[in-house]
Amino acid sequence: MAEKANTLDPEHWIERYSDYLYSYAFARLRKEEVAQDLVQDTFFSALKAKDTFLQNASEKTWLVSILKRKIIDYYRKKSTQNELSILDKPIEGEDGTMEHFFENTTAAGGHWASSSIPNRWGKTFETSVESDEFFDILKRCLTKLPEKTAAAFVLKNMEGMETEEICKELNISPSNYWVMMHRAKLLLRECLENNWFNK
Amino acid sequence: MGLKDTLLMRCSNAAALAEKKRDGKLSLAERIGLQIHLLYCSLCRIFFKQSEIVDKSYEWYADDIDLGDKVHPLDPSRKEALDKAFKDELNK
Repeated sequence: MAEKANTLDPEHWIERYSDYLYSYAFARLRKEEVAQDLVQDTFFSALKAKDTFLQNASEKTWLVSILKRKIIDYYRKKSTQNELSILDKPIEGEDGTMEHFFENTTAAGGHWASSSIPNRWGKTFETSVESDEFFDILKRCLTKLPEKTAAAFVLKNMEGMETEEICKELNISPSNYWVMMHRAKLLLRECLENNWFNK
Repeated sequence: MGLKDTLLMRCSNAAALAEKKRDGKLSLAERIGLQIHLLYCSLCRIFFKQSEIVDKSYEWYADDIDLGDKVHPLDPSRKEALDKAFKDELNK
């Protein structure tokens, strides 16, 4: 098969790719304003960098790669703001339990708090994905995550990055990463249980 | 981790190991302690299973957008403004 050289056609970028890039960005950034700004930056950066475009890539893939970089940079900035904590709020009690999710009395220390007990789910993943409503619930639950908590989760589960790579990009230790992920999982699990799996 | 923490792991500590386990980075003591805990703690067993479903769900969610199945379009007025600003830049 003859290799077809791809060329850039910036005249048509906005009409062809802005909706796609915006969807991609919004899913990962969860805030309309932020997603809009990064999509806009992506087009302008791409224009400046158009000499770096390799003709064996597609225009769309290339634009997405620029946007991905911007998403990572956004979360890097978020995770290093307010250096005191890698998380949005302190999550560890004195005995190392997580507030709200686990009991922290001496007697019941470390047990699931009665309001946060994981219940068996009434729906399966396989049947859920057939529903458009499930998609909307996933979107809504992700939107509720605090920024710094979302960073690790989005990069791992949505960008498909390796843990080592995420730690390097966010400049955090693996232990910090596991804590961020754990917090995201506790929040998402609970939100999905209440709004979908056991609704 | 001391012997007591290994043999009698708390739910909060066991659940927190889910991510480390996913990355295959549990120490021997953590692996043994977690295995014992999961033998008798059905709540943590449920948590571990559901944690995987949460991962799978968001991987699916991202894929659906990446394949363009579920587009969340840019606000038309914002798009128009962007188009204009971008064309101005192009024609500079």
